[in-house]
Amino acid sequence: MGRAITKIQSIILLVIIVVVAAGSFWYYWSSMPAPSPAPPIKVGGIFHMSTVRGITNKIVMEMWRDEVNKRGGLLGRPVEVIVEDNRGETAANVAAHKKLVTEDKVVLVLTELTSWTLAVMDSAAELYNEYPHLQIATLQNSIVTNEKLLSDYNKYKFFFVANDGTLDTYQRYCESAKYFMTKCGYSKMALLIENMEWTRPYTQGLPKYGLKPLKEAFEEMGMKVVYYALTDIQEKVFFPLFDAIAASGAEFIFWVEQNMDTLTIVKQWATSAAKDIDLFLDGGAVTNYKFWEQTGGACLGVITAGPDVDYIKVTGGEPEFIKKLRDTGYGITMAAYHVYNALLAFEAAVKKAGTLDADKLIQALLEIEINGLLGKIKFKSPPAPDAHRVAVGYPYYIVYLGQWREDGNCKAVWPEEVATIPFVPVKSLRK
Amino acid sequence: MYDVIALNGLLLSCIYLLISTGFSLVYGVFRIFYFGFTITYTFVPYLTWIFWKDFNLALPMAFAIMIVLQILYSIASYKWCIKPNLADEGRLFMATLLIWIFFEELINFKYPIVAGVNFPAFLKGEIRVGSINLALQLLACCIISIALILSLAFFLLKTKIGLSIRAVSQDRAAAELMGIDVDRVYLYAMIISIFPPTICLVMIAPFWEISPYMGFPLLLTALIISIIGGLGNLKGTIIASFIIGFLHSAVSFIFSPRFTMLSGLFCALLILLLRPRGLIAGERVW
Repeated sequence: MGRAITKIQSIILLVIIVVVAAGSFWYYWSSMPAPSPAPPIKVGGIFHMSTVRGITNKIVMEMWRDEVNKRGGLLGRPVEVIVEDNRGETAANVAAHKKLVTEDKVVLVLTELTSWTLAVMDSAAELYNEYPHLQIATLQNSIVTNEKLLSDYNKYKFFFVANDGTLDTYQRYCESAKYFMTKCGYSKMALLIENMEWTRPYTQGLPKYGLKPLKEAFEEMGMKVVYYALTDIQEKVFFPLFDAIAASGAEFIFWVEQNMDTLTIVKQWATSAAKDIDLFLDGGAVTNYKFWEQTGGACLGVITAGPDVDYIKVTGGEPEFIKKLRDTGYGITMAAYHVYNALLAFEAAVKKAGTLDADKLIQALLEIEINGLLGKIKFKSPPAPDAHRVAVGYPYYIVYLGQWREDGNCKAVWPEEVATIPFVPVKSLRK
Repeated sequence: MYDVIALNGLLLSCIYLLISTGFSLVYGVFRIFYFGFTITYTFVPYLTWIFWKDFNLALPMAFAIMIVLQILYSIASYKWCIKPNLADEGRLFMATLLIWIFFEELINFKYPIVAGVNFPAFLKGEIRVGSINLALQLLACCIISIALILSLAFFLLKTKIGLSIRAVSQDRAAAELMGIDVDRVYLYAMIISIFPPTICLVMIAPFWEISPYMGFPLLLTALIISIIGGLGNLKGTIIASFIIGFLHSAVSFIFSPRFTMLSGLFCALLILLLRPRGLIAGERVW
């Protein structure tokens, strides 16, 4: 007859059974494959990576990725950023786009510059049915891109533009020129226009949209254009030009340019007979925060569009954005604002649509109105001639003007809603 | 109006004279288009910047080292590029072209435009002459330009080395037979040629373009002036510098700055048609 199990033995047995069971259970679970994390949402960018602008754009994309992932990602999925280098070649944009869409499976592609953007638009239209995705253009994309979109809306409906366009720029030229002329009581101006394809709407007008050549538009606004010239980007000697402007009696120099050698222009202007005539230069090196140092302070008083100002606050996020980018060693470019705004808009659209379905995202992009950088972001809807482009003008996205001041920084002076310092004519600044 | 054209014309003429004299001298002595000369212009601000900013030396010291390096560059170019290829114009052309582009790209790699290379004017202020403002440093540049060219003329006409340079420029073989050390004369010509553009760039840099690619527009101006004046003839170079300087000033003031280069090219083409050897026949350096 067997011996009955004692109480202690039964406890030991129970403990053994529990330990074995727990061990088996642990072994079973640990040997199971780990549940795979949600696949990332991929966003691509195609930029010219040998330029400061390209590098800055990549930094901005990565900055946004980190911020979004910190917020928990999109639709519960992490975000991944892939940037391709177009090496400054149009054909390379197409190859990069195909790679991003077919291999990386991105849901959004950022592009820049009219010709590169147009090339990608065609590539994207070809691939859209098989690989639905969005394209947002981020810098210097003229009205031509909108015209292409509207020429076959269903084919190009995935296309959006995050930067101001030809029509906006035309309006800004008129408004800003009027502001400076009125504020200082000037009536005579010198109008110089860079001789490039992008300035054609300003030299010849855009009759299709009811826009006259800029010279005529200025004169209709009551400004007498006493000196008018086209300028070539390879020009290096400006002394006679400035002497001619001074002799013409001009009180304000308005220079529509993006590619002129602004370093040389400013150095020669500052010692010429025109040095007391206010000078507006639209873009180029003059917008860089190192320009003061580069010109040895010769740029005092020069006005420019969208420069790397030390401080600006429109919707609230700008000071931190400026600080973050300057901390990387690269300054602010307008393209940086456009890229960040494009990504914010995409993020808002994904949240609104609750899906990555391209058609629903397009609809969501047209419906959102959010706080971006330098104003609210809202895309215009058809039949506006610049449909799918961001609305421009305070409280929406603005292109501010800055003036180089005594402390070696560029300060926002226009529009008045965002100005951090009043505009002062160069003659007074020199005193 | 005339005072503006005259003063700007004088200023541009003096600058062009300094820019083109070295190039013309090298052509006059060697009878080659020395494209490696282009980088001489670019070296001035960039070498100075390296020693001034990167090595924290005083600006005058940086200038001095830059000049020494320019001389060494001339010697090295002659010894290792020009001399071995002097008999083969095609190879020489390619070699000097490659040297120019190599250094340009090297400079652009280390100091792109955003690096902000510049240096201040050492003569501050401007003077008002008639209806134009003229920076004192540019005025000084005009005076130095004229003084330098007079010195160069004196050197070529009155010194033994100058005589040797002229002899080699007229007939190398005959000069060699007369016992002139042609190799040494070539070296002297290379070294002398860097001084006018170097001094010019030091003077005008605070008012001019500074970029890794600044050399080509300057070389083009030097080339046009040399063609008009008579290739390799310094008297012709002086005359052509003043013609182009005043032409650029007048065209830019009366018409548009866009037409300045076109007017210079038109002038050069006209000379090639009417006087193919230039205003002064370029068979000798003076």
